[in-house]
Amino acid sequence: MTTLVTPTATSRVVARPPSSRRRGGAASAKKLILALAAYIVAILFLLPYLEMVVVAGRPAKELLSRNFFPTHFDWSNFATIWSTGFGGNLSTSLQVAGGATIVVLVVALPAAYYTARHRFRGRALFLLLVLATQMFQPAAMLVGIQREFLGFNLPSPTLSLILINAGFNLAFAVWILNAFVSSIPVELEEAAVVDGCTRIGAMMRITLPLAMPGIVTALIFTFISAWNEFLVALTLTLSAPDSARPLTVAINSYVGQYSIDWGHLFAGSLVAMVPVVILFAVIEGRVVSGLTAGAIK
Amino acid sequence: MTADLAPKRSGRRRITGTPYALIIPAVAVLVLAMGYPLVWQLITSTQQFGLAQQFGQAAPFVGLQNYITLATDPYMWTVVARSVLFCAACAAITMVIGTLLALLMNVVARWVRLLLQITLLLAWAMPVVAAMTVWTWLFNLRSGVINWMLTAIGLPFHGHNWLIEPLSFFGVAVIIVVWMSVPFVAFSIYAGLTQVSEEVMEAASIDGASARQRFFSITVPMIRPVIAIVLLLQVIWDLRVFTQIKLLQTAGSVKSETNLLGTYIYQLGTGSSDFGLASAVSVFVLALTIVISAFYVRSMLKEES
Repeated sequence: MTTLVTPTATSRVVARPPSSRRRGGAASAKKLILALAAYIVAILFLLPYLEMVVVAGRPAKELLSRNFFPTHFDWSNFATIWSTGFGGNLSTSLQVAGGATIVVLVVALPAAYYTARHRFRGRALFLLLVLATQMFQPAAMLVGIQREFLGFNLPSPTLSLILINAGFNLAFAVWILNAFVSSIPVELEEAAVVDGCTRIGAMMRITLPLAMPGIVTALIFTFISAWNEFLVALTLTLSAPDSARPLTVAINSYVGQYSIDWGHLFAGSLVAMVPVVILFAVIEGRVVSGLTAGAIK
Repeated sequence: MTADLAPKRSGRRRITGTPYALIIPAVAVLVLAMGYPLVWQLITSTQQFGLAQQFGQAAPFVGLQNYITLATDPYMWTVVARSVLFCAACAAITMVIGTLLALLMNVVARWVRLLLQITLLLAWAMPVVAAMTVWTWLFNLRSGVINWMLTAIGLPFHGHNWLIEPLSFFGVAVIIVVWMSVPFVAFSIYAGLTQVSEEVMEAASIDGASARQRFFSITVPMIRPVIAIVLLLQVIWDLRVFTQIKLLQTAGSVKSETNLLGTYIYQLGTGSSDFGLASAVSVFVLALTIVISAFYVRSMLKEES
């Protein structure tokens, strides 16, 4: 990689003095502007959350008040929500999203590794088929899904939901992992084999750690998509007990035909964020970065 | 096919049978989860559903009749054109903002980056029903914060209805869809950026490459595969967008003027129980997606090998 990249970079260099990287004042001003930009983006993205927090903490008798901020915050919605069976919903969602994520990583990693490292008959066909699964409208598949999985007669909809969510999200995982593994020079693995590693050992110790940013991305993506999946969950849990429904379905049930339970809707949604943020906090530190290019010279 | 292997790999011990052992689990998951619904859709698209079918009578097969009905219906083509435009706008804006944010994450201090990532994560992970409720509130004509702010700075937006005009309806929809998809793009491209080696960058910088040159000759080629995949998926997903449009329509707009392919399928299928026609639209969307992406996917696969 090094040998490929450096010449192209230098060949285009016009007569220009090497830019010194630390120019004191200018550099720190630039840093400040960038940080400021980050804050502004963060605030823009949080705008809907501000509204949610304000509503979730609004006392019931002030719901129709025209003031944006309530006179005082009343966090009882966060307490009473648990008596609606929200704990069960949370646990169902954790099982569905966690299960789907595990299934996706377990089946996508070997497939992506192999398609990245080998050219074999049917390789392009496999990648295309995986991609084609994304081209169908989930809303259009509902009837088919309902027929298939209600026919299975599984003890709980959780297993069906794990399988369907794994199917929905496999495409991204396979393609992104394929791209990440491809970008890791095969020479690294070969060097490890020369040094006495087994092929599988080389894959586990060299390639997987280097592909970690890709794995983490696939993991977060799958977890969040499954966590947020709504249409199929609603369809398959129609006859299930309330507490066996995933969060998204429970949250939707606060939106009634004629009235909406705003407080619980938003308190529930805010609580639903917590596991996602915890997951991110746990795996964020595991991203190993930029190790590859310097490794072969 | 061994001939296709790069020469340096030919010396490697070939493990016969492994390729399929490694790939079959992935195929199995896809077939189990989505095989039946997909085949059901293909079959149903050649059947005719009417009143009798609502009372349980089997639907007769009518060959390509549903497809002919669609192809000769000008409304269908309006919806197709609308969806393609909507998809192009959303995908383009999402990719630009997402890439810029990924680059921003890459240059700021660690804790600023974490702050950005967590905010994006929150936008990404918000249950769609809650997100749509908040967004329709923000744009509410009477009590919405957006109208309130625009009025406060002196613009004539008091009681402005954002959803009644199709163009402004789609403007709002683009904002919401972009808000929901930018985090995915930013996270993925940022992951790609972490693979760009500091050392190479430093070497190029010592060789006199400007920041601009380093970006276009080192960073872009390194993250191109990730950008290619993310763009491809973004186009596919934006073409089949459904939930956001459905919930915005419920919030108050004329359905026939704001239907995209996703909501049109829903309206035909679940709405009027014409599953034959609905499936035909859905298969049409598949064909359309293939047409739009075929050239791109081919060049992607070619570039890889």
